[in-house]
Amino acid sequence: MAGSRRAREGAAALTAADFDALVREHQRRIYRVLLAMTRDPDAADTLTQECFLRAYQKRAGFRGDSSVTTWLTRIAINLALDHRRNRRNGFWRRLFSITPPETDSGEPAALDVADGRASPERELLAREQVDLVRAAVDALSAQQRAVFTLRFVEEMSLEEVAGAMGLEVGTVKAHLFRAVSAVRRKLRG
Amino acid sequence: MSEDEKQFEAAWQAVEPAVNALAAEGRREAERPEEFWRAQRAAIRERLEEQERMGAQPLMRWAAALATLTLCAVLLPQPVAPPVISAERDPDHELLLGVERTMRRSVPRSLQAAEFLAAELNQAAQMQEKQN
Repeated sequence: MAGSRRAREGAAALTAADFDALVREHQRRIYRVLLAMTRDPDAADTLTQECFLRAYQKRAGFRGDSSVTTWLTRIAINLALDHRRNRRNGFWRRLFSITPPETDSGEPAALDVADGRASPERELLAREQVDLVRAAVDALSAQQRAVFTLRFVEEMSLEEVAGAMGLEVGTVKAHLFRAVSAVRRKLRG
Repeated sequence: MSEDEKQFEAAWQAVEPAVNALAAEGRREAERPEEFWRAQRAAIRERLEEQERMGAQPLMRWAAALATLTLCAVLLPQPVAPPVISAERDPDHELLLGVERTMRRSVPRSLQAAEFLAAELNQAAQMQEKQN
């Protein structure tokens, strides 16, 4: 109780100077969530900025019921959902952006799926599987995708995901089940 | 464990390595050099300061807008009423009145002297008849 009051008072009393420290602490996580949601580095950067600006504007309304991380993630998810709704051509962009990330040398990054023996065949198989998972995730609804990202990329607990999404834990579980089932179907071919 | 949870567990075991690989790839994709984060913080700070400035200025903006409107109202040329030309000063009207007066008169102006002379002669003749 006292902690949540402190958090509420802390957020409401934030000055622009204090806010810089908060941005420094959370910007990487928020950017990561937004990049996973939008798959567009420029949009993720812009939306990250927008997320912190909104948080600053609404700092007085922060009730302290959740952690600052959950609060910021919720703002970020809402921005990502709005962004997705506003982009009618998002499908085509996503369709053409399904490419593996490149390393500094310009080669696709190695994957963690390989079990230590990094044979070219194994890496290729892993690459294909990751691409299939990505395609399955891209085909999910925006909300399912958000749940999937928060749970597996951000490794948030079910309760944290529910808090960030404004959903019941049971609903989060249902979204996860559908998402995992969709990925499994895709992997089975 | 419920039936649903068993199904989820089975599905999860089948996809876990690939999902974990995708998650790791997502985290790698989001890695940026320190310069990127510094620039992002600077951009946020700049936009925040701009918002603060804009937030402090609405009263000033309203006052400026009101002053501009007042100034415009004062400086705008007032509508000028068309000049009223009185009938007496209207040369056309005066000419018309002159013609009218002339037309009402039974004798043209050029014969006024003769008319006067005739009247005098008549009057003299009538007086002479009375005396006789």
